[in-house]
Amino acid sequence: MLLLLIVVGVALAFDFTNGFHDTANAVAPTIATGALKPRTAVAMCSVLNLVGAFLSIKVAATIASALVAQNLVTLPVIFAGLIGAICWNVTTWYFAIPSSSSHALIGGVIGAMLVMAGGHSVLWSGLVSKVIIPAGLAPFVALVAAAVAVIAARRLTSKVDASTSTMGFRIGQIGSSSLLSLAHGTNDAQKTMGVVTLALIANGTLSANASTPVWVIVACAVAIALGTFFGGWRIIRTMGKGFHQLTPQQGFAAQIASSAVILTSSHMGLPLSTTHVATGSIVGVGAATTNHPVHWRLVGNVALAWVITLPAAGLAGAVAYFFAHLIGGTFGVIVLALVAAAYLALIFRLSRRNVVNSINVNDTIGETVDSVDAKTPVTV
Amino acid sequence: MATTSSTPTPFIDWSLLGHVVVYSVAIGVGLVVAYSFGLAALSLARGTGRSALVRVTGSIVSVAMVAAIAGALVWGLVLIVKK
Repeated sequence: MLLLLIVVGVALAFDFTNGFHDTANAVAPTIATGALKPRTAVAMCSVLNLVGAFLSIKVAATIASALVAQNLVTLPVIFAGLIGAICWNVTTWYFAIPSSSSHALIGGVIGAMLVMAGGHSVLWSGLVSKVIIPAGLAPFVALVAAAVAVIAARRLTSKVDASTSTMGFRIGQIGSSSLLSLAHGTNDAQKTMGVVTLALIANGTLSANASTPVWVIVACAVAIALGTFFGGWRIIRTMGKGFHQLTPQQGFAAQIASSAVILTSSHMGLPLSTTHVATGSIVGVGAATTNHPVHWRLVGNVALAWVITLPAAGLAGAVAYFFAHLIGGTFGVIVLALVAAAYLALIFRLSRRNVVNSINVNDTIGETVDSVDAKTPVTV
Repeated sequence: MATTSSTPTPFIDWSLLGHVVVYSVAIGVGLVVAYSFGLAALSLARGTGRSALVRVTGSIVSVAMVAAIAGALVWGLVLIVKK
């Protein structure tokens, strides 16, 4: 029972990191164009993530049943996978890289499963068709949709005076950001729901292929909403200011395109990365317009991080499982949890040297942020 | 000649992925076009020196576009919740 409680607690901690890591996906364009103040945007995003988490559980079902052999899953495996995913999420947050929380989670669990039971414990068909192929397709689909949308928007509003256009698209961005927040909650909160469901099945609390209990849905919804409320300011700055200087029209088109891709895939049960989609859309609107050049070098670095997320989180999950198993039992899990907590504390301490928060989030990347008081509240 | 009663599950469900691609692009572009069209119509309606007909038509079109977008979003969310 203690082990189950630890695993559920760590799963909710992952959900929290998922929330603050991915806040940028929904609000970065809104904050960058000034459509909403940073704290207002993040608060709104948090509430809508909470609501979105209750809309559907199809992705949760995919995570729980289509990626690994349920009958072979054990609680230490899930624990190790979650530890790998959390460590990867927090590390990429420190470096302000918008990587995929979903792939970190899936990679972590699969890495631990491979060490525990070997290759036959992974449902490769499900992994390829529901994770890897969509992961490769999603950013390009979002990029194309956003690029076509912004070109169409520019042509249709070419005779609209600048102030009306700016105001109109800023108002539209409040709606598109809301929709994207809802979409994020619908897709991402479910991933942790799926993992907790898997843990309950592994513990014998639920029967195989059981549906997600209501308390799991509520707990995961609250955890992701809380994480979102803290705002991953470093990644918000990368996505809002790093790729190119967004206009309200571009921000609106990017957010609508992202929402369409995420909600459609959620509807079909595909657990794709909302980060990949949001980044693809932002790059797409930049590539389709010539007013501000896209920083392709940063795009390349981010794409590289995407490629290594699944194996890196897998390796972290595998190492975590190996040591937890080596020490053995619940004690091994507790020791590993303490080691992970120490690592997270170290990363948080390092992050204080270069604080990014709601005050300096709209600074262009490369500008000094040393003048910002490191004691300013809410600094993630 | 032997026949099978059910088709095997494909390793990669290209049909499902194709649906996601087509619907995503269509919905994403459609909503942005509708909003932009509404904004252009609103601008036309509010412009100086326009005739009453242009103002009324512009207003009606902009309201219709907003209503269409709201309807599409509600319909989409209902589909997701029902599933």
